Amino acid sequence: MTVFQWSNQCFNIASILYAIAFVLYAGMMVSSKNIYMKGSTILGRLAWGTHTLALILRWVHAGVGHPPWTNLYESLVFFAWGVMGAHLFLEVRFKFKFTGVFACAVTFAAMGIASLHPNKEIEPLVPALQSWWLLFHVFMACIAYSFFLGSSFISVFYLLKDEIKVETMSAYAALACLIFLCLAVGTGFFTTGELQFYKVVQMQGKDVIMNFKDSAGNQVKEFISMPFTTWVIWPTLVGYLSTAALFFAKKDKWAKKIYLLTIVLHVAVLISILMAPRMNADFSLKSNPYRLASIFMTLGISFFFASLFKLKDKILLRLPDEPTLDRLSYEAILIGVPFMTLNLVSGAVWAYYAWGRYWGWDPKETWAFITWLIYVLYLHVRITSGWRGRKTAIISIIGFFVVIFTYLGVNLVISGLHSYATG
Amino acid sequence: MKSSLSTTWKWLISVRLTIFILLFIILFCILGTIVAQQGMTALPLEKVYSPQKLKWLRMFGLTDVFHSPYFIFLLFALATNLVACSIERLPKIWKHTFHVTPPPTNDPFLKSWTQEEARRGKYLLQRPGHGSFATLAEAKMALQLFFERRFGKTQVLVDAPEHFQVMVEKGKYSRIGVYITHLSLLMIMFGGVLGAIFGFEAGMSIEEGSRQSWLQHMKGSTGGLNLFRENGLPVKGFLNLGFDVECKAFRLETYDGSRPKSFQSDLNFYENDVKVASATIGVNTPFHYKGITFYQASYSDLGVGSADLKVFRTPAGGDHKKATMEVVSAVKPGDLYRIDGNAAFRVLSLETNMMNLGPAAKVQFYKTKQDKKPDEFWVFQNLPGFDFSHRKNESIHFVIDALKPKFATGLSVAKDPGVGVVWLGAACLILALFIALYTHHARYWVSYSKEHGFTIVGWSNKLFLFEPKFKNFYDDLKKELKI
Repeated sequence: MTVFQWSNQCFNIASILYAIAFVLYAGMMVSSKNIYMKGSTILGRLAWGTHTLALILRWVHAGVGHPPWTNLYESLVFFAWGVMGAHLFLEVRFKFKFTGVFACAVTFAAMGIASLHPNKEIEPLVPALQSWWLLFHVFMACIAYSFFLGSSFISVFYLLKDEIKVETMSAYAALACLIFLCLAVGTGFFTTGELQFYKVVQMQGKDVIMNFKDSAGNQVKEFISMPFTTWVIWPTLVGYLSTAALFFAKKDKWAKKIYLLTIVLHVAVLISILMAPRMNADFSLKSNPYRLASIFMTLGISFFFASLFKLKDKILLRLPDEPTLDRLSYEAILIGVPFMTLNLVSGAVWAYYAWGRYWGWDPKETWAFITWLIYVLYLHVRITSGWRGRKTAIISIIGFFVVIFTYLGVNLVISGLHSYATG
Repeated sequence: MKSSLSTTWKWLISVRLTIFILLFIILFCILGTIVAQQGMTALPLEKVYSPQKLKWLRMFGLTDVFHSPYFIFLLFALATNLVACSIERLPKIWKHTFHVTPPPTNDPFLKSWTQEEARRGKYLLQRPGHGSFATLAEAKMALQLFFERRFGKTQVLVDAPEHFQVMVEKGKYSRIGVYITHLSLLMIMFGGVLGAIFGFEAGMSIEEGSRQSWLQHMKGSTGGLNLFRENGLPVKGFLNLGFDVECKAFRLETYDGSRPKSFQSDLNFYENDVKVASATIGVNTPFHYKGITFYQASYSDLGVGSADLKVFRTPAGGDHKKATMEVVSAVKPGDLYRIDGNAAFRVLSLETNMMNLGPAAKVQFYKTKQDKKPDEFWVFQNLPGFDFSHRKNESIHFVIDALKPKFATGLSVAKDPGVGVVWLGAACLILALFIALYTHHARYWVSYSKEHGFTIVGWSNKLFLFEPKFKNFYDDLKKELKI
């Protein structure tokens, strides 16, 4: 086997290990049995080690000037590595293992989506990416985003421990899922009723999104018709809306039933999309991995909160006390902020050399700046105004959405609104 | 009057104002990414929005949020807030940190304080008792030795017969980290303002082999340059560099014939027709000349520029196999090329693919100087025998050796006198952030009294960073002094 094949093999093994680690970390939240406690530690590290090895092998194969984070596939795999790495850092340093379940879920999902990617080849770098700043800039972004996500995971546990009702949290979770799903299916879905998964054809071994000209002469992308998925998405969206509404209206019994039903529908949506490449040769998951990632992520969120109804009491017993959780979440942000600053500054330096200006307010830059501002705001309200606990936990969770939007959403939503380049 | 001034000041230095401004900046940033911005979309705004909608968006300045008066006002307000906060707080912190050693609060320190009370006042407290010391002098000696070894310094606060107290202070400078952070942000903003006032962004497109002294002005000021004039009249949107830039050569490398791997331009700079500088620029490797930076931004393919022609001369007798060959390179359409004293040729046109036969050139051939009716015929790259069979009886024949593409290099040209300030600010920002967030200011007190034994107190501006350190300190102290 070549180095490249070894690398891919390692990615596959790491994905499987992450799946097992996920189960063990989930078990560790409700039970102190050795198999969960020790098992999660071992499997988590093993998976991450394999993942690291895979990245190194890929890097070795591609050459030193070509780090393994230069296209969508690599980016997903690399940021997944970062999220798990940040968790392991927290685990080792603060003996806090609860973020593992989220980290493994996010990582496994990202690896899963990446593994569906048809083109895992190492692509030659376009001239603008041939720079050492690429290495530094993306690495800094990865560290910063990973710790911000880690902080938001801890904040969820804080809110749980702070006795915010699971019903209330679920209502907001359902609302978040609704919004993210709406973004995932795209604005076009509501105006045309058509799911915007682009038609992809193979041309000279590359996947190309099909374009055609409409009657007005505009370039239009061609969509694949996915009738089944379309039919399931509508009730899923309605389901989340009614779940949130019923929880807010304190009709908890009904809300829970609708919630479970919605999750089943959501799973059906996901399966129908994952099956699509087998049914339709024109469908490739590359046609819109961002949408797919959103659908995946929202399912994970609602699944987590639904499981809390059963597991809450057990988890509460095993969680550290509130001030500890509060401080941990803060410390994760403290790690993230300087790296986020390095990310912005290195991005500016690179932009200066490649594009002739250090700042140009393009959407990705602007959203990175917004992310930075959110955490700067967090530091100010915490250090200067003395906010603690619930308020800062909520900011940290808002931070989660902002980070995800900066990483995936900018490319997904904003390029959909108008014709910025998808970068 | 005085009270209203102090109210204003209080409002100006409040964190609430900072949060307010930051929230508004976030809001406008979001607007700036969901509304298409002037000059940032591939399509003109007129095509993105309907005229009615565009009119409304323009009216509220939403098509150019980041240069709109209210965004600039917000940044200005933030800067004011930063300056005011620094003026208010820095002297106090300075005094607190560098000039005053807090007096030992003897009473609570020694007797009545509980750990919880201490914690409420951000102090950590331990009372391990007397240890094995028989006299105060012994304890004093051991304690001083321990402090010297651990911190390299001690400060004796109380040296009484019944009571002895030492103190050490660490990481004072951590306290100014946050102010340097803010100062760096001001510096970055100042650099940005310098760039906005005195800088510009422009572009130029130079054909291979030609020179140009004008820029297409895109953003910003004129940067001290004159407007470009044609026939004495200034041309709107164009600037005069005051020197010439020549694109001597342009090189494009591709990965597999399509995707660009790299592109570079060889540039020469002329002042009054004297070459003063030359450079090769590529993506990520710009060149600076006279405070103006030239970036390789793009290129355009202008089609076929020239051809290398093989000219065959058949000796008398007509045996083509004995023909001699010379290559005339870089033949440009329209130019006359002399072959020997008499004959000459000119390429009338070059085609990359003529009637699916591949690269072709239309040649005009003069047999003698006085040739009034020159021959005109096509020659091909892929059909080397064509000219020999087509003009069988002639002694001179042509074959295309290669067609050379012609490019125009696309340069971004920018002047930004603020960029140095921005980099300095950014470097300070990062350094100061690490200091402000990762280091802490700490004080350790240890006192020994005959009555109460040891009392160990710690204080820090960041208790959570300090706690493990204090625990470590306490453990070591207990071990070394055998308490």
